[in-house]
Formats: sequence, structure tokens, C-alpha cells
Amino acid sequence: MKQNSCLIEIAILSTILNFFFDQEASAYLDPGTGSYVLQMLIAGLLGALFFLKLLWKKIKAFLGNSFSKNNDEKRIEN
Amino acid sequence: MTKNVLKTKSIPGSFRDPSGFLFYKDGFLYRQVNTTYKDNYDLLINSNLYKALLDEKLLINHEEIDTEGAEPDRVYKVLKVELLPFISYPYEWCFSQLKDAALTTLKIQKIALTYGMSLKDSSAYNIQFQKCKPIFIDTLSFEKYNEGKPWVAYQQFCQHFLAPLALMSYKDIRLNQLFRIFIDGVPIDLASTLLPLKTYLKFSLLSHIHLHAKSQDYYADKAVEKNRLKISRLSFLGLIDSLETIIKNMKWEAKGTEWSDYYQDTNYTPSGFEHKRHIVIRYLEKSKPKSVWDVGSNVGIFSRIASDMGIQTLSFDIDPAAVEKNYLKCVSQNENNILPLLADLTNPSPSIGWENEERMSLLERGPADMLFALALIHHLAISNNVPLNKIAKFLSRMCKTLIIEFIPKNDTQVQRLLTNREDIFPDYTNNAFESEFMRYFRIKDSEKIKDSERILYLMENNEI
Repeated sequence: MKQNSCLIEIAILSTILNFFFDQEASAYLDPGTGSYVLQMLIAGLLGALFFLKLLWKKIKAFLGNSFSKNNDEKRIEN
Repeated sequence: MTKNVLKTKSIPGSFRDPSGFLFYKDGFLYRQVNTTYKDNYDLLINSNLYKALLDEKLLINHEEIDTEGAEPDRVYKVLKVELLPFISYPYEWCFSQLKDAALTTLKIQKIALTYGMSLKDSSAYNIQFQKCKPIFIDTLSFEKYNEGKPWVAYQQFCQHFLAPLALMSYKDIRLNQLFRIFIDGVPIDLASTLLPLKTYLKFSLLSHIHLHAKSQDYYADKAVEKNRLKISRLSFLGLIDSLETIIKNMKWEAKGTEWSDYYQDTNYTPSGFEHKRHIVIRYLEKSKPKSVWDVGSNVGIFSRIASDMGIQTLSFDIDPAAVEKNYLKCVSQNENNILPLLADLTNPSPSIGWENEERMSLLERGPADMLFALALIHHLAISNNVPLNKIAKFLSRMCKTLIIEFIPKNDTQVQRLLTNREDIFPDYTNNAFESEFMRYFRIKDSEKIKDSERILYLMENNEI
């Protein structure tokens, strides 16, 4: 539980924090200001959705393991 | 594919990226890596990203060669690049080919990020098909990933992949032809205008297409401080995941076009059909071509006679549903020797782009060793009003050997084509056909197909 709430905190922080870097101009394409702005606008939501997706996968995997453990125990009892 | 490639010759389509460029020398293909790309190239190799992509067969093979670059004053390394048997372009791909190309690009981007790199461009022209699977061909597309920086190639990805796929899926399958008009993919505002209103209800299309178009329009003449535009690594991954999900879920059912159910509706008897197959096999065994172009191939039944014999085969058809069915079969059967592609022989891909040289015309990418023109000639001569002498001349530019089927006027398919029109084709006869073709070809063999008036010919080009 503690680990999960820590993950959530990191996720929230990383989606709202600004990082200050010097950007290297190695790319040659004009990325388009409008495209960059849109990415920034939807980034937070997409990041959160992605985080929830990963979390759900972990929960499913954990529950899957629990069920198979329970089934093994029942088989042993029987 | 290549003709007269002695000495150093630049590739017209390879010039926009200052990191390096392709060139031919003495019949081989090379990529010069410029000194400006040194750090990124070293990172690509030393981080093992290059090896990881090679192992997954996602990136074209290259080897570092000790030779002079085409521009020695700025060369860092020269790479000898694996040659592909044929170059195709996104306007020649069916729906699923473009979809697989998009998903491959995103897969490569995800792998790159785990090695600390990112794609700096995401053009559909960076993908080719090798053994009928998408493969990335631009080794210099990778740059170091700096966390915080938005994806520089996001706009290009939307133009080259998301917009055309959405248009094909939600509006009309033929809209991938917009690639022929717009050299850098479909403009997002155009896609936004053309897509139906229901796409506003899908969050991914609403954001990546419609809002994207509006944002582009709003910021067209405004400057924004770059340092304010940041997205975290998690958001970056979320962006890629969002694009991958919407593209994975895009569907198009291969039906409803003119030729999608052709083989339900031909006029061969079963033994006639088998006889035609045997003649084609015999002609192939006689000629032993290294490659075959099957034009008007529909779903590739006759193409597969050649590809099953181990011959590299291109299977062209005008109908998107036919090419789609053909490609899906290649994928499900894991076929290596056949590549289905879209082509309209009455309007084949022209050369386009800068100086009309960036992307080669279909003819420039030939000639084929052997061409199949089966159940085709009546469509050109009757439906499209192309005189026999022009068909003969055109085919003579396309191939060294030809297997062609003459369909006479009394054939039921030709009668069907003439149902609602005047017969203005007095010169469409077998004699005229042979006479026109003999101006360019030698007839090596011919045989009438059982239970039919159709005749198959094996011809050899006089000139090539």
C-alpha cells in the first residue's frame, strides 16, 4: 500500500513538474509550435491514463497470481 | 531495381536530414554518417539499441565500411546498407500495410526510449517491406532522449500515419492517395475537415487530429518560449501509448469495392482454371525469372505460383480490398516471397517530390524480369479505351519476359464490358494483338486455355 501511494505521488509530480534543460538542436524537422503546445496540453492526462493502465495491469497480474495460488491450495486440501 | 549505378551517385530522395544521406557507389548502397551525427550514432551503437532492433528484425542491416564518403569534408562513418529488392511507397500500400508500418514505428520508438533514445522523425517513407514485413530503413533517425522535451516527430507521425489511416477507416479507403499530392503526409487540418463528425466523440481522434489542427492554426503565427514546452517521460510514454491504442483499434473491412469478390465470378471451368495454372507453371519453369510482377493480380492466386517457387513476386492490383486480402494472407501464412501493392496501370505512380525525383515512378523501379498480364488486357483495351499498340509498347517498357492472356471479344467477360456501350473496337482481334505485340516481343509459346477461347502467351522482349 505504501509503495502504491508512493508511485501515485511520483506520477502526479512527474506530470506537473517542469524540468529545465537546455534542448539540443539535433533534430532537423520543424516540430510545429501548435503540435508542441498540444502535446503539453494533453500530456498530463495521457500520462495519468498511461499510469492507470500500468497500475491496472499490475493489479490484474497480482490478482491472477492470487487466484491461481488459491486454486492450488484448494486442490491440495481436496 | 538499379541500372547504371557505377561511380558515386546521390539518391534524390535523401537530402533533408543533415545527419547523413544515402548514395550509390559501384552498384552498392551506402549511407554517409556526417560528423554532426557522431554522438548520436555512437550512442545508437554503444547503448545496444542498434543490436536490439536488428535482433527483432526491425531495422535494416548495415556494416561500417572503410571507404571514402560521398562528401569527405564532413564524413564521420560510411555504412554499407542492405539493398532491398523493391522500394514501395505509402500510396501503394493497402490499409493494413500502412497500419503495420505505423505500429512498427511506434514499437521502435518504445524500444528506443528504453535505451535512452528517441525517433527524431517518423515519416512513412522510413518504412519499407522486407519479406512482406515492415522494416525501418533510416539508421540516422535516432537521437538522444532528453527528458522533458516533447516528441519532435509527433506532428509528422500524425500526418504520415494517424491522419491517412483515420481517413481510410472512417471516410474512404481511397484517401491514402493523398500521399501522392502531399509530400509530407496528409495535412492534419485537411484530415480534420474530411473526417466525419462522429470522430469528435473519440478522445484520441479529437485530440490528435481535431484539436491538433486547431492548435496548429492558432499558433501558426505565434512564438512560444521553448523552455515552457515540457512533457515528462511518463507523459511521453502516455502519448505513444495513446497513438498505439487508437491505431491498433482502427479497422477496415476488405469488401464493397469493385473487384473484392472477383474469384466468385469468373468464367473458367474448374479444369480450365487448372489448365491455366499449369501453363503458367510451365512458362515459369521454362524462363526461370529472378523476379515477377503480377499486374492486375487481384488476391494473388497466380502471383503465388511464382512466389511458391521461391521467386520474388510483386502482386499489384488497383482494388484496395483485393490488395488488403492478399496482404492479410501474406501475414497469416508468413509468406516471404510476395509483396502485394496497389497500382493503377492506366495511372501508375509518377515520380514526385523535390525536382520530381524524391520518389521514383513505378516504371523507374522496373523493369521486371517477368510480368504477368493475366485476365487484364480487355480491361485496358475495352474498359479504358487503350489501343493495343499502346498496351504493347507500355508492357515492353515494363519487363524482359511476359506471360499475357488474350481475352477475345466473344468471351463472356468482354461481352459484359460491352453491355451498355457501343462496340467501337473493330481492331480488338487476336491477329491484331499478335501483330502489335510482335513489334516489341518474340512469341516463344502460346496455348489456348481449356473450355475457353482465351489464349496464354509467353513472350520475350526484343529490346531489353
